[in-house]
Amino acid sequence: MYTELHDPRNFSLRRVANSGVYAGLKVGERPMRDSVPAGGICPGAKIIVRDIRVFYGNKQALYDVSLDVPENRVTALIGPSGCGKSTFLRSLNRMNDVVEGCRVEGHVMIDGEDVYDRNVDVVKLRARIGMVFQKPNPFPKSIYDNVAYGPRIHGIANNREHLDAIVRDCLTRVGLFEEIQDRLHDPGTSLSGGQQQRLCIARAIAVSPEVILMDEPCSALDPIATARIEELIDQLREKFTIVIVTHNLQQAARVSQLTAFFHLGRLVELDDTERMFTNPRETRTADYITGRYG
Amino acid sequence: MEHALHKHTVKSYEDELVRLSRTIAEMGGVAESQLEWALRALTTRDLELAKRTVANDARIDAFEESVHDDAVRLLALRQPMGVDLREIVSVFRISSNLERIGDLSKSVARRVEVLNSMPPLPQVHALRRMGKEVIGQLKDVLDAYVDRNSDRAVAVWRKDELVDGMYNSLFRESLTNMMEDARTISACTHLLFVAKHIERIGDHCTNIAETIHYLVRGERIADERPKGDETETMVQ
Amino acid sequence: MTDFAARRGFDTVSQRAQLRRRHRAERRFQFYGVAALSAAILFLALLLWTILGNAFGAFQQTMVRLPVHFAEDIIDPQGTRDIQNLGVADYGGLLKRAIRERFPEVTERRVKRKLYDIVSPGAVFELRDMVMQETETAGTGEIGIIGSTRNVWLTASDDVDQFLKGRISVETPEAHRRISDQQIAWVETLVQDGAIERHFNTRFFTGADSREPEIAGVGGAVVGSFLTLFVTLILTFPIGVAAAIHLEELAPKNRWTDLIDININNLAAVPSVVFGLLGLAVFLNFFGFPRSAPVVGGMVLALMTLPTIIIASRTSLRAVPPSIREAALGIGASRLQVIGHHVMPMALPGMFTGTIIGMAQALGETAPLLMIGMVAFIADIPGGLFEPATVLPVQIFIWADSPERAFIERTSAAILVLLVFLACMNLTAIIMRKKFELKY
Ligand SMILES: Nc1ncnc2c1ncn2[C@@H]1O[C@H](COP(=O)(O)OP(=O)(O)O)[C@@H](O)[C@H]1O
Ligand SMILES: [Mg+2]
Repeated sequence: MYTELHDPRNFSLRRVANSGVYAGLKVGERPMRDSVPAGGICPGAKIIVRDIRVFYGNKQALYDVSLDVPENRVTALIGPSGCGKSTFLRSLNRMNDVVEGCRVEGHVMIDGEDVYDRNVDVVKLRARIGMVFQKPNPFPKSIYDNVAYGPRIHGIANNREHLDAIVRDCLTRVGLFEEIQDRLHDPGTSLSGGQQQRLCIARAIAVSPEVILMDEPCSALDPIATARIEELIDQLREKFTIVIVTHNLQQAARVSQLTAFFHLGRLVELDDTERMFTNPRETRTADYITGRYG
Repeated sequence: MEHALHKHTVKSYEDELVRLSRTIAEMGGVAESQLEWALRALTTRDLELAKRTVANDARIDAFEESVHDDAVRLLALRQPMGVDLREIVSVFRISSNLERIGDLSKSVARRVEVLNSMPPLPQVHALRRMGKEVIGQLKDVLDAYVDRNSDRAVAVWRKDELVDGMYNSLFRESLTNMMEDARTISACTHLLFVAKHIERIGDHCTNIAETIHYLVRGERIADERPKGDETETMVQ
Repeated sequence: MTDFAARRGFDTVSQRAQLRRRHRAERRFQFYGVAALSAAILFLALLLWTILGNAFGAFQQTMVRLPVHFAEDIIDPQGTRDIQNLGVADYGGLLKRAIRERFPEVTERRVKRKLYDIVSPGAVFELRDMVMQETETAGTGEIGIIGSTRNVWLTASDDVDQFLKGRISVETPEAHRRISDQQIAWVETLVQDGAIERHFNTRFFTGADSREPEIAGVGGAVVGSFLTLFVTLILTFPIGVAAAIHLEELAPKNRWTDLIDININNLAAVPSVVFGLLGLAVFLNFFGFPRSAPVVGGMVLALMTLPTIIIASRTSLRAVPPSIREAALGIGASRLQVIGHHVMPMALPGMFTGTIIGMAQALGETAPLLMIGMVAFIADIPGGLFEPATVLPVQIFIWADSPERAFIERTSAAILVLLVFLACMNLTAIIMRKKFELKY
């Protein structure tokens, strides 16, 4: 049973839900507040989110969102602009902390640890949950230093050789090493848009995070660069848990195994990607994915 | 789905989808009349009508081609999702089912000339009943398509058993007939083929019903498929 | 049909007229811009031209050659060669004797005094410095300067200088000019002898202020300005940058920070005299700092430039794209690391520029310094932060106010020095920018 659930080919949240191990939760259903046990409930859930509400000042951006992010899967967040996808994503690694007037209520647990616990070291947390942004944003430093920055500040590399190895490994993994190995010390900003975004991904994985959050990582890229990133995401899935926000439904369909549809700050539907894009159960989802008024 | 979907934001997309499904309905109408004509030509021994039916089959083929092209273009340009994607897939499947129905009707019509040269057989009545039933199913299933009514499609799907039963008894009857009177063998064989064609048309209707269920519900019909043709294993 | 075409077409009569009007308007607009720019350049050129024209004379000083007998009985009657004694000897007498010997025909006391006026009072010090320097460097056994007679180049008085530079006309009635016919005759004799030359005026750059324009220099003011600005820089850059970082990066945005915000902007607009008054009240009267000292001047100017620097620094912090901050936070950099590793390096060039602009503003400031006594007459080059000093703009202000003809050219020359000082500072700013600029 256990192994079957963990086999990606067999993955199906509905199956998990039907099998009863999903803590009796139906998909999209709100769990009871005190039903959150410490150890995690959906087998294979890396991040468990329960009832989070996010406010920007007086304005509420998320309403009681509960969602489990399965490990080593790509979870796509879709929904119209302003529906709270980025807000949700940023509350997973507490990037909202730095937003003036932003308040988060509810539980976000990674491996059973409450992310919003007062004793959590945000710096460590963000090293565990990396982030890639919409616009490629390499530091105004060399390509090498961009990748080496994370390991340096977290003291991951023991010596120069080790650091070199990490940089080389990360650049290789994002398929950039071949292209740029003889200009490692050129500025990161001298690369093309797609290369810059891959550099940013390399920079994110250089600190060996467990989860990578991507906020519309391809929206500024051309189709070829986009395809390369998608291929990369597919490879990264083996080692990382990925949550990706995208406005490109085809992209969500291509890269993710699980899709969550947000609308007006609420999680409307969460399902296997395949099902989501062929037969969503909610009218609002169907309207959205088929491009109708709504 | 409980609530009706909204219209597409892109109006031309909406229009193209509507036009596509209208074309399918129209094509279904043509296939229906082809079947009707073929059966009438057979029972009334009307060679003229049979010939017209055979000639008319080209229309269905043309329909299928144009529907195919439109659907492919929609796939490429609109990248349909959800119900729209199912709509396109259904169009492919239903159009090829209808095309097969047209072909089978043509085959029935072709046999009219040979059968006319022989004395009429009593099984023709059973055949007419079976034809009527299948025409009814085709009508129903096409209506279900137009209304996007999966319940009606499932009802058709269940009635396929009936046609199978009719075919089985006709088969048995013909076999007995042939054994009793060797002179009827030639006519009986032709008639059996016609019956088989009509039974196949029933199967296509079942397929269309399944497609409609998938189109509307996004899932396959949950029950076991009703038992079909038993004649493959039938011995006298 | 016709109506529609007329509205849509590119080539109808009304369209063409409209296009012509638009092109004309654009050309007119361009002309205004060019005209404004030309006017500005013209005025600047005019200003520079007059300053340069005036200043030119100040860089050359008229010198008179006199045979001087360094008589031992005047300089060192005891023959001890003690530097202390050498310094207080009667060089005035020595000089007067040399002048009398050069023009032995002059005997009358009143005329003699006129004769002495040909040479600057500063010449006395020139003789003294010469003797003391030579005695100090000479070995013990050598026959030194004392006792010998030498041809010495001495600074001519400002009136002689101005006369020879053509600034005093002979046509002016004698009573109305500062140099008499007799003096002119003496000068002409000296010129014929080749005993008058114009030398490059080093003293103008190295000397301090003086009542006598021919020996007044801008050096004291330059050093004073330098010391004052040093104090200002040391105070404002760290404080300004720290305040900007706190306000921009760390402080929560609430009513208090808003209040501070408004006040900083208001302070930047406060007239500079007010800061001088504040300095007078607080630094001098309350804390008892010395008057006229660069340290106080620096503090007052620091108060004045701080808002400018804070505002400039905040602007350049704000110009750092938020995406860079997010990127760093996203990999787990702490707030301090984000600021130290990414924000500061990117904002630094802008901060430098802001600081230099603030410094330039401080360099040109007179009013607040007047309030704390930096306008006093200081005849020495300041040796430290607590010694009395003056600064360039105040020096210019004092000279511009002086009646002597020779101070006019010196004023212009001092302005020129100030401009060069400013140019150097701006150059530093540009170099720093180029050096620290990061591309993003
Ligand atoms: N820093 C902020 N301050 C105030 N409101 C914000 C802020 N960021 C986002 N919002 C609001 O929260 C809602 C959700 O925004 P966001 O999560 O960025 O949407 P999405 O990424 O789905 O487009 C929007 O209505 C937006 O206006
Ligand atoms: Mg967003």
